[in-house]
Amino acid sequence: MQIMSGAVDTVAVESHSKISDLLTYSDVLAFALDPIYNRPIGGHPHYLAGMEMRRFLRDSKCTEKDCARVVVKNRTNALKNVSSAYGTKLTTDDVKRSPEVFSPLRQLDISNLVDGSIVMVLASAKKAKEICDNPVWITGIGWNSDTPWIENRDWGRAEYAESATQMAYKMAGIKHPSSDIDFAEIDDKFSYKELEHIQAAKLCRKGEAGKRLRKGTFDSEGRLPVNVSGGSLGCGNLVEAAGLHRAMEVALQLRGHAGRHQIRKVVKRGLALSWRSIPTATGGAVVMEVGR
Amino acid sequence: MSERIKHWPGKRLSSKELTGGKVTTTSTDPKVKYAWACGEAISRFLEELKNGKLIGRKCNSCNQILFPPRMFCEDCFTPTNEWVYVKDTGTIETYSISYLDTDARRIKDPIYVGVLSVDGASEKQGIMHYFGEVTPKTIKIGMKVKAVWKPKKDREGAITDIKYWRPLRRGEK
Amino acid sequence: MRKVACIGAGMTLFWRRLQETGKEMCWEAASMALDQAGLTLKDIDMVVLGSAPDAFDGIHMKGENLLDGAGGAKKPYMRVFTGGGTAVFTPIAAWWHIASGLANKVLVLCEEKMSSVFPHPQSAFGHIWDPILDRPLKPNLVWIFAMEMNRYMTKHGIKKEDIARIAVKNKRNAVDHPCAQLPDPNITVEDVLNSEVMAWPVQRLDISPPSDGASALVKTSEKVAKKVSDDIAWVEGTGWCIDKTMWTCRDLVFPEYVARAAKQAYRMAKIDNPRKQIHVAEPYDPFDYKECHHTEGLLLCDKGKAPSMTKEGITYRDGDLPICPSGGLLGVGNPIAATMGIKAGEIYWQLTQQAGKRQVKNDPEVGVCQAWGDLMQYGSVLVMRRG
Repeated sequence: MQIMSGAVDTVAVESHSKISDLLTYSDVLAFALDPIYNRPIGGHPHYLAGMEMRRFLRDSKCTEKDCARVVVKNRTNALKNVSSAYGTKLTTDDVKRSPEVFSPLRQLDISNLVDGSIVMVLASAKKAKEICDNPVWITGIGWNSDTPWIENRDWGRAEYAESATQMAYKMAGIKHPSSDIDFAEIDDKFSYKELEHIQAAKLCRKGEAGKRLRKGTFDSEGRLPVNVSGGSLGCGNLVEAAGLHRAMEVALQLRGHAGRHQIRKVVKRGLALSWRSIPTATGGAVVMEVGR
Repeated sequence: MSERIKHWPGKRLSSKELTGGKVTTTSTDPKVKYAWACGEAISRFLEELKNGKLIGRKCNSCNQILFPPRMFCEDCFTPTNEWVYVKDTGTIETYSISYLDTDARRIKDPIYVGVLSVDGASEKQGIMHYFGEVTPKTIKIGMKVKAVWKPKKDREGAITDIKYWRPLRRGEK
Repeated sequence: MRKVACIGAGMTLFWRRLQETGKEMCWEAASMALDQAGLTLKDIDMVVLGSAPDAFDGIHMKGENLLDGAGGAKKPYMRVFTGGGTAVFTPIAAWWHIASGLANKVLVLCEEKMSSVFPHPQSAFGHIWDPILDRPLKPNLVWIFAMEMNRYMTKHGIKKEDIARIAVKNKRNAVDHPCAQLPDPNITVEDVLNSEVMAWPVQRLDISPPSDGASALVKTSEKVAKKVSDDIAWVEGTGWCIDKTMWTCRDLVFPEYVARAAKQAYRMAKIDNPRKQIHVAEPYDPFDYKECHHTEGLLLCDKGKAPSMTKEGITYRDGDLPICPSGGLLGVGNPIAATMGIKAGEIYWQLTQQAGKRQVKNDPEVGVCQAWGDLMQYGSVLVMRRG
């Protein structure tokens, strides 16, 4: 917006996590809960993810095993990403055997925290053409927040992500996201969130996220690769910087700079979708393209 | 519209009303604990304090000696290049005489505190620290000062390994 | 660049402890601004909220918690934060939303509930200091201002009484502000000079008080503004700038970051002679010397000359360049981000001749407001012109 307003020509966007300096992550997370209604309940706030996962699985026809498949896919993908911290070979049985922490959420369904910094440089169209040979164009942006009251949300779907992606699609002129978008980097701080966000972004028909996943649509070789980078499950959770991480990975792919995890097929349009994590219902979306 | 607005919202409470049980409150005591990584430059700086030495970093691009040391020069936005010892003398850039402690409680003996730039580093490269052996009348901006170190055995690699900075004596370097 | 209008403002009382929750304060201020603009929340496309550190309200990611009070639920909503600079940075962020073409009607909220910290907001301010270089010295936040004030006074040879006059002016101005926390119609320079010394040269009456409060603005595109409002002020210029993080390596005499932000805003507003072309100013005044510092940063006088402007009467409401006619933070109170109500809000009311008893006498066409924040090195500047 700073550039679109005409106020400036170039902007460096930085976002980082130095979460290892914080020794009491869950306590800080609990500090984000409503001080009167929710905080006194106590416990690790990840229980909210467990609650949401259960409702999502019921409403979406996805299964716990589908969530495990997301974990396996993303951590395998991360093996090819040089900046990832948690790439490994796993099976769905490994996920199933990991302890239930906030049922149905298991230990391996949760992304691990990580330190890191992301920078992207944005420029106006005029400036970009002057200084860059292969710029990636931001063609749509959107962001949205659902109610802060966790009691009032629709637990079975990510409404904020629906609104944010709709805003971005409208701006980018995208009518059929599942065919118009070549690949996506989507918030997966918890495994089920990837599936929930895929549905919210309309990258598949309603209730088909699990089915598409099983068919391999979202694999790195699939029709619509999701989190080829490894996502937060594979690279590590950069907390508030995870959103810019998703966006950066989209830009890398579009420029052909992703190295060993570059998608084989030619990609021209990607979506990045972020979520602010527990306990928020806030997310952002950006559509980027090349060759326009 | 300021004039047309008849009612400005908000109900003012006195401290008595708040603590006297007249108003419902709820409280939390957050458990927030940190362990800061000091980074390469400041780790070395803290190590050197144990030896009674002050160290900075030189940027070969602008020739500035940065103190406290940093691994990158924010003016050139390039890595700094070498370690350089600086002196434990300096100049008072500014100071305050504080009658409050860190929790805003009143104290009897005031704290002399200020920013000093260190000799041997570039202009305006300095730190905040205490001053001692001064009075409200004698302390001045521009005054030359020297570090008073803790005995070696008491040093722990912290900024407080220097007790305070005192006025430089005549003939002293 | 699309034209952006301000068509409504609102604010709550400023007070050390308000009974309302943060959400309720936001809702109150937002409702006032919407009423004045003749719009309802349904009309609003996007919402921007400004609020300073989470530690004050005691809620991590407090923007998320406040969003329903701010009217942001199910809308594109964002919180911005540049410390004290938030008070003017938030309306700047709202300007982007509209100038970029993304939105036509934006609700702007600023909130602070400092009374939630016990026993004193000072304990939360402690976290501002560098954990390795500064915190072992057990600092108090007032120190940093005292050091800056001392250097400013010493370098320019300014007398304490000339700075104290600023506190007197603002606390007297605040008598006419219905939301003021610390108005005093009878305060004198001697009162300031005789008040308790906190960290020399800062004394009790040199400082603005911590407060609770919220404020709001409504901003729209030109088309919307002309359709719904008769009381328009155009946002003509915006600027923002930050200085080095290492505060001990900065020039404390002159706020270069404010000057750069001001130049950016003036260039956009086509102002080449601010001293003539600006008729009313609301620089950030959490301390009396800061009003001087910032007046100089805004290029409204020569370096070191701001105190004499007040001595000569130029900065009073009937002077040639009224400064802080609202009563400022010194008189109305300092709920950090929420001081938008007495910075951008006051300039809006002044330019549209709605300031009532506080109305300045020089029939102002152009006004500037500014805020200052982060670790003492951030400046945000907004220029408005009457419609």
